Amino acid sequence: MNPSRTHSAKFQAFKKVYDHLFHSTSSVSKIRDSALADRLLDYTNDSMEVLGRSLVWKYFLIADEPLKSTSNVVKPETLLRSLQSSRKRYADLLSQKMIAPDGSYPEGFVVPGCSSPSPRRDNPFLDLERNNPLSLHNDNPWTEWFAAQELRKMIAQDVERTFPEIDFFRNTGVQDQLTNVLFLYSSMNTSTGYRQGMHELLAPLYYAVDVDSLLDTHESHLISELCSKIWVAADAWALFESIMCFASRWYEWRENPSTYALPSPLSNHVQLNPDGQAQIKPYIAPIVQDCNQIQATLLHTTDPLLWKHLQSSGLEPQIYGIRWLRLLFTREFSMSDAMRLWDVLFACDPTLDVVPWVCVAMLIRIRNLLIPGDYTVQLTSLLRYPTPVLPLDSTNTVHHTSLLIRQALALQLAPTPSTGVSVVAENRNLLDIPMEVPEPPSTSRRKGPQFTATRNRSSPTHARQQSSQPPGGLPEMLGGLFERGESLNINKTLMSAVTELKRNIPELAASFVRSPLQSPSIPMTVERQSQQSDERPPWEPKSRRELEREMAELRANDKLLGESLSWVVDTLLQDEDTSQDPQRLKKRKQEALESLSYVRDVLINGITEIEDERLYGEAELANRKYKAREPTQAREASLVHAHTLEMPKPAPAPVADTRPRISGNNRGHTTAISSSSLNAPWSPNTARLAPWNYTKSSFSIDGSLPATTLPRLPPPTSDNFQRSHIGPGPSQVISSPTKAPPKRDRTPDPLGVLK
Amino acid sequence: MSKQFQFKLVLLGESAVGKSSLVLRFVKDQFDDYRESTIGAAFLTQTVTLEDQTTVKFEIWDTAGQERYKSLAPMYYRNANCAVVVYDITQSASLEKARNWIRELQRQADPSIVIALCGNKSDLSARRQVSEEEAKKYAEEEGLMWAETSAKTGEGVSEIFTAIAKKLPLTAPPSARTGAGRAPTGPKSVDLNKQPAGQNSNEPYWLFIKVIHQLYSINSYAYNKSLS
Repeated sequence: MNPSRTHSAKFQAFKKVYDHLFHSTSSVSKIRDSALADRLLDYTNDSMEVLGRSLVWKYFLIADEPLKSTSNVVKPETLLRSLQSSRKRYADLLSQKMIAPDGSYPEGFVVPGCSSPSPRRDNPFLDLERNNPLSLHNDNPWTEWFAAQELRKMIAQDVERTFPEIDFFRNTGVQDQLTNVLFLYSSMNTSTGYRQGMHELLAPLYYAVDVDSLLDTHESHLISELCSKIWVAADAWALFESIMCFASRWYEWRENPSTYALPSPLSNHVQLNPDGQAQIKPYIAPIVQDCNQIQATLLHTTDPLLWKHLQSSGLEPQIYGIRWLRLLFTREFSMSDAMRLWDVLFACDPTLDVVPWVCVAMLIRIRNLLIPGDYTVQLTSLLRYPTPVLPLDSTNTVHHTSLLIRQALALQLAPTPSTGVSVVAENRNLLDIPMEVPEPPSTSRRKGPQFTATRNRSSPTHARQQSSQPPGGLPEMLGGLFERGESLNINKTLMSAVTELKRNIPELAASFVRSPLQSPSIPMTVERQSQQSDERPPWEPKSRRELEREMAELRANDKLLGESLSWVVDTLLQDEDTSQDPQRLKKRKQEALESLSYVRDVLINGITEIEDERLYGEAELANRKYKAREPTQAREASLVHAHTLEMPKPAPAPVADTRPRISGNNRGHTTAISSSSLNAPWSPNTARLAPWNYTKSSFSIDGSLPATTLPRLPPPTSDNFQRSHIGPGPSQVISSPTKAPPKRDRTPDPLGVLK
Repeated sequence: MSKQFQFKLVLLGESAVGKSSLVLRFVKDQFDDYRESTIGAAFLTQTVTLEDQTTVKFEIWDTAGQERYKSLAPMYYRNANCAVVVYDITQSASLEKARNWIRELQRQADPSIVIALCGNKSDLSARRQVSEEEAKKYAEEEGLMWAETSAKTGEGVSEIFTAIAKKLPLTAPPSARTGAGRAPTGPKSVDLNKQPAGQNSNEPYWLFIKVIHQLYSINSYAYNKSLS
């Protein structure tokens, strides 16, 4: 490669690595440690060409099993034996696969290990009836041969353009060898076959082996044998096979023809937008599973904030994960950096289990770009992964890609947010990446416009008001503490204590507020405490209460969807011929179909946050809103807020509810009864005596309450602020319908202390 | 007065027909003899200014061509406003693949999607296997835009993207015409990821207040009682 480097100089440099690896005192774990510390190879000239690299790779990837256990000494003889057997296998298999049915080899093909082109092997027992290229016989071996040639052509098409910027790969001899290796691999592993990307996994391996190869064996040393020029392709194949043992799952793919089946009666006359249909697949490719796992599980446990931002912008992990995993990061870094990453990777974990964690470490490294960025910025940073700009004086610090492996190993060992924080701190110390996430250019990053479905359901305007409330408050404070604690690297026990405290506060308060006679068995249908589950660290299980609440939410969602579907069906059943306004009906049918496909998406994707506006067409929505307003007004007049999940929908069809108690309370007539009985004692006239009497019913008086009359009400109570909480939000314990009536009867002495 | 539109464009077609080269020519006006094969997909943006000063920003998804990854493609063409299906004029098989893609788009993609069929490598017309007439006829039958391009020479490249830009606002649904208003890229559509209730985080705060209120209620009860 480098013309200035003489053969013997190369040999000397090489011998140094060899001696390090096979020194009598070296054990595998020791070698692994020095690989982790970047001390195994000489990286001074900072190029792709690092002598001895392939030897290290062979040492970790090819040597026999005992190597995999620790504290084992690898003898060069052992490695050589493994190499020799794999070389022989390669030669046998390849010549077997390359030979045409008539016993000839393609022009220029050299059987590996031989120096001259292979002679034609004549087979005197050819059955020309069957074995000839034009035979139509079923067993014609030529059919298979032609298919193999097609495969070779497909591989060659990609090999031809492997690493276009590296001259080494423009050499046709190299390209032929790469094609041979890939061809052999894919014909030996027919279930996986050849997939784009494999060529770029093989290319660096081949390059490293080739750089290290020694042409002649004049120095009768094992090194010459271990790195024989003749066997470059065979050794690259052995390395490739070893990596593909674990990487092939990322190439596995099965086309699923049944995706387009699903005949629907609608599809005959209507073109639906079936963007959800592709997801009804029983088969999920392993790469997709792994990508999802990286983002949804691994990242979630170690950097919840980053996870949250990636989730909220809707970034699918396959978009970056496929390339990262399939190519083992060769496109994300410069070739020399990527190969240094491999040096450490193969040394530390030849089974590639740590690779998903490397992805997590990569995500965490660019969190300052990802968190404040919008979808486009995130995409751009993920698909064009930035190279860290290192401070000039950091020549002796660890290399940025081998650092990734170390961080990945740490994350793998202890997948917690505090490890995530320590990675961030490490990035600051070693790579000069600030720990503080820069503010996004426009809106504040913590308070996005976030609505829940239930809020939207009661009234969209409310949702908007609620989201615009000023920040601040207890959990906000605790959240800040939590984050600060993390950044100070406070140990986990304390952190979880804080989390625990944070979680328990609402519950604590709620239990205090609850009246003593209230039965604890009342289902938590309307008790909205979703923030508990939101802020709970992922390692803690859900409580039964929350599960019950989730169930109730699901039921309510089901009902909503059912109502939407009944509207869709009604609309679609209307006859266009008899309609007075066919044009309008057509439009409504279109809307109905859109709603229908939305419902389908909701059901398939398990969406819990249903957007009301998409369940019905425009006209119907307006209609429903209008209808919904009437009962609301009635209730407001009665000072009772029966907030139920299904309430705002004046559903025509009664839905069987398994729990009559709630449904009874939720129904209009019940509230009317309770309100009539309650109206008198709580009417403003009787309560005017003392100003604090307002407070008794303040949670049901929608915003009309003069805020100033509330004595010592904690901080700013703008009109907006107040309405958003006192108003029809189902999030409050007190305003829940299941409890409201009994409480009203008993509010005078809720704790029973005055008796 | 200038209006701005933003559209999601997806490139589909067989491996090595020149999808990435086409995008590279369009976005950077460059060409490489060897272009590395696309793994997964690439994402680029480019803005086109039309004669009436309307600007159209394309968010381009350049996908991997290999047939095997086809099942992945819906992720990229979902919500796309336009698709450029590319074939290689020197490979008749690539037109066949293009037809498959177009069928799939017509069946699976947004019904309002603008599809352009693009015969690339027109500089290699000496080795042509797909005649202009054949492709044009097919495009007319299917109601597609059609052009031949050469990413190598640049011939026809900006023209086809400009033609798409011109066609788009007219055919896209009204909501898309508000430009940035409708972000056609995934996140706007079915939002799995909407964070639940930001305001809920203030709940304990309010519970706290309510506790105080309750205490007041008790107080007032005592007050009323003492009055009576």
